[in-house]
Amino acid sequence: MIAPLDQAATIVRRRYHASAGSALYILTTVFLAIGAINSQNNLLFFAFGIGAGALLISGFVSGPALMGIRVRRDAPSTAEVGSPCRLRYTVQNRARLSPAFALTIRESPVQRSAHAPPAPITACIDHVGAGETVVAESLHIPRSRGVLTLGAFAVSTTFPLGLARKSVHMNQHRTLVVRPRILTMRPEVLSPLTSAGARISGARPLPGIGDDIIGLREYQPGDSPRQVAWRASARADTLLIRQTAMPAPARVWITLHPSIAALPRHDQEEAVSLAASAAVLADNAGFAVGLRGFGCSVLPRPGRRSIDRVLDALGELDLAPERAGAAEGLSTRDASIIIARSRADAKPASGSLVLALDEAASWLASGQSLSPPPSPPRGRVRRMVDEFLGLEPDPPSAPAAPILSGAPR
Amino acid sequence: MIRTFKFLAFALVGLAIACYAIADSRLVFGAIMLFLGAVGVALTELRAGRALPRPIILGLVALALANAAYAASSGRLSVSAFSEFVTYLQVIKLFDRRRSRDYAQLLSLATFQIIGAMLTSNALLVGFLLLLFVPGITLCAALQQVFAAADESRAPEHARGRGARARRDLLAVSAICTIAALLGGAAAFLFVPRGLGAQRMGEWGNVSLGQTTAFTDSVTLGVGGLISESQAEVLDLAVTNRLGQSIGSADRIFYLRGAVLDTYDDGRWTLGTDRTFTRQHVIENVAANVGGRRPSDADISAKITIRNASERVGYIFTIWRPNQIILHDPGGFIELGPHGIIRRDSPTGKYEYTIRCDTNGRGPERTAEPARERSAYSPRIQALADDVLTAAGIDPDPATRPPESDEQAARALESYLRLNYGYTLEITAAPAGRDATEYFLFTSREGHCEYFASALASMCRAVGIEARVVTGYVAAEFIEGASQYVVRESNAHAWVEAPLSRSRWTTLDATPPADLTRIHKPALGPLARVRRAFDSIELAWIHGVVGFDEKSRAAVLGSRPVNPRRIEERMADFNLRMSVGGLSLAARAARNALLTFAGVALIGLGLSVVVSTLRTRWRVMRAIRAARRVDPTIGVPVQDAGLFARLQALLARKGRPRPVWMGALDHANQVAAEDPAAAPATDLVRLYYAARFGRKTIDAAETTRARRALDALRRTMARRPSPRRTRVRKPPSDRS
Repeated sequence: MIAPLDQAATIVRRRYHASAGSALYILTTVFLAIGAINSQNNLLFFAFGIGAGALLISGFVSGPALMGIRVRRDAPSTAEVGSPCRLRYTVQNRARLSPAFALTIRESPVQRSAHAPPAPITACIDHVGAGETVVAESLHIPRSRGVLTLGAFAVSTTFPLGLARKSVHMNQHRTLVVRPRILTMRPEVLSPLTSAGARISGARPLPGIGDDIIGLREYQPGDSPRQVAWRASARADTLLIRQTAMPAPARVWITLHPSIAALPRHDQEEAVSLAASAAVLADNAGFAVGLRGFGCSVLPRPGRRSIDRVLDALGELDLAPERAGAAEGLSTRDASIIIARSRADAKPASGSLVLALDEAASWLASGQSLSPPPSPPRGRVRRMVDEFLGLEPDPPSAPAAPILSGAPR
Repeated sequence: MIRTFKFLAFALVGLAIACYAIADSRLVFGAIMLFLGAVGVALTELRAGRALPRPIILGLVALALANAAYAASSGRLSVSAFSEFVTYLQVIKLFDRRRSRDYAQLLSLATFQIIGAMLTSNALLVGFLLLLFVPGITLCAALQQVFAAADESRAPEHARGRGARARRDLLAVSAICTIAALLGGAAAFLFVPRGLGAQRMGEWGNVSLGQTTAFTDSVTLGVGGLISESQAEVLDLAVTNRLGQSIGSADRIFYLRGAVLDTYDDGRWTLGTDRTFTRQHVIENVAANVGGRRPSDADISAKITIRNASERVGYIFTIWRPNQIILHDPGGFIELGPHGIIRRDSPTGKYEYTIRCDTNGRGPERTAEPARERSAYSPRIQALADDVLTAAGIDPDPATRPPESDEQAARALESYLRLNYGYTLEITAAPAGRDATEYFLFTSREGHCEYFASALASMCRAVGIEARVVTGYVAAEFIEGASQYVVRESNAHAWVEAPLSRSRWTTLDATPPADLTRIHKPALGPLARVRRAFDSIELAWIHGVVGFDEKSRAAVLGSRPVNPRRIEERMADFNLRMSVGGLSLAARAARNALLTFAGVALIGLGLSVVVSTLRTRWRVMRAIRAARRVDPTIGVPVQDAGLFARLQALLARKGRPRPVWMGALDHANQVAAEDPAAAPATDLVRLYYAARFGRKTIDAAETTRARRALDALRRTMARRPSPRRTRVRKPPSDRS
């Protein structure tokens, strides 16, 4: 008895896909039949039977092999634009006898468009024996930030004879946040914030193990006797415990200036990428990072989870003009890094650092650059001509891997 | 698995080429193509090997296409020409670089070539190669799917098959597919009724069963002629009596009469001036009476299968006098000529017929009383013939010799030649100016069957017996298992016919019987045994597979044979009854189907045009609305692509072309970093980006500034030398 695969995707439908090859095969078989009848050539009768028999057995062999296939897709909760994202497919063949060969897994695009290229194959499995479980992985390079919805995917094969593609469509809903691309910035970018005169306030301290005493509380069973404030206990006539906290890190706000809303989509994405890069730089420098702008507010808190919240918020951020709000509403007494279209737009207060998009190159570390605008897709005719001539397609700017695109929520 | 797949694919291509070469008897062509294919594989698959450059490949394909077009235009459009074209394509592809789809194309071409070979020949070897091809192509197709899935996915990694188990599973699936395909073939072979729809789509050519004939319809002494030591099979002969029992045996020889030659001139025997042939149509498998003889007199049937008739008009080989002829496969015309010559006019390739004969009268019927006059062209031959007959006690003068003694005289001459002359296959031509027959009789005193036949005919004519030379075959190799004779090229023979009895022509053969037996009887060595075993298999193949007809099918299945003619008549009758207004049912159905198809196609086309127009309009409007949303003051986004294109051209001229994989801004930054004088390029690209993708309005002042910056850049870079050639390499991270 084969144990069922946990949390396997549900099978939606099965399909047979005809192709030019299958049409040619059927035409050839019909030609053989006509030739055999017309010429009464017994070898042609035999060949026609072979052709028809192969067609039938192809359907019979590949059908049961796919019927027994169960797949579970494991995906990470987050991804980053331009960085590989690994999807893992656990493929189980529940059939008792028939093995499965040459399985390909394609993610179905969430949004289809007329110019979209065919859905890329994301994973390939040579062989899954009867009762076997095989794991395949695929790498994806997300091209845009946003919430990526992984819905249906298709497991297909042309095995054994390549006459038709048989596919099983499965559904396993999963969302992951595609965070913006994070570039390496020069460390000295933050020097205006750390220099003298900058107004830096600490984040609210969190109780925990530390040297700073932030208050007293009543004794609770389990507290260490070393934490007992004996004098205060004597005064209060009850046992009191010293509460300590870690030193509060300095707070900094990443602020997205409303002028970004007027930028083209590509420049907006550059701005978000710049904001994410600045947030990571500030986090690495020990700041508690917060995010404001475009209706979004993430409070700066110490700890790793805070930067994750900021990056997730940036990933999901909608930069629609109606969400931009007024620039005055973003003023704060804390230090802030303002991401703006240009320095003139920002009008920074003291203690604020302005990262203008038109000066982005000066903030980035050497070897880093903002992404080029997308090139228009190649025409279908051009692709067909290239395929006919056997020319290789233009090498992509990113490593050869399927493309995933997130969409703002 | 990939190596196994490649090896198998190349082996199948080689098998297909070999199969075509065997089927079309083009062994030299096949050997050359196989050699070239092996060179192509070695060039492309060896570690340091490289494929031919693509322009050369395309040029070779164009040449192959031109050759095929020339063949088609010059009337040589045939299965053979198509197979030749496919062979060229396969060999060219073996020199090309290959991905999974190229292997699929190679396998498809190989399959087409095998089909072409089957359309050309049904020889045993072709059938055997087909049986080898089926499991090979099944396994290779299965492997190709695995290869293609991994190749086309371009995934950085994929789950590979796990060694032995994957191989075992793959072999099992391939075996199941092969068995199922072969079962399908056997089912179609057994259950499809034969005869229905035959030749309905015209003549597609006729398949052969092997080699060509060595038979000639003229004899020229001193040249090759009928002399051949080739063991290639020419025809099969089965002789049965009235009860259908075989009367052939290893000790019995049959003469298969073909051409009759009655005129001798300077060492050459030909058919004389009477070349009148009467044409008669013979329906397939329907007995046709020949020469007004009674069919009931026929007591012997001879079924002859000519394996590969190379020409459309050829001789019908007969034993004894034919009363009836039945053309089996295919039908056609027969031509009845002088001296009992029978010819056929039918497609080339395999040709099968049955002759029913009357053994009471051997040889063809005499239509006129022979002229018993001496017709010696050589006094020496006449003197020799006279001496021979005188020595035998027979009067050589036809005027005084009774007609009953003609046979005795002819036999005496026959015996004289048999006893006093030697048989040799060495061809020795007569010296210039000397008659070849005279040279044989008086000088060389040895020769082959043509010399003996020519000498006997000449001597008979010298003593007033109107003899003539006949060419054909001697059936002497009897295959016990198949109860029939196999006749090979080496069995071609020449003999003599003379009017010795009242109304019949009698066969005379001056070739020494011992030599005749030695030459035409099968050898007894181990190699000969193997050959005979192969012949038995081949005959079983011909009768069991190639000759499998409706009768055989009915016998195997135990059912009544389907009468195709009756079914076709019923269908025609039904069609006639259903016809309305002069249009038959089929014509009306075709007309309605055509009208429906045209209507649906027109509606579909119209709808698609409307939908396409609406979609285009919607897209344009959406783009305009989007542009207005960005900046309401503009109607259409401004794109200053002219400046950008000029910038790119300038950089390319100066040896810094933008690689296709690199963004324009990155490229401009890179150029500026390497050459600070090119810094304005970055600003220009930014301006282009803003206009092109940001839909920013560029005013006249900005455009002028950009143009000036570009001119300045051109002047600055004009001082740099233009490199001849710059190769841009992909960064290492992109090579994957």
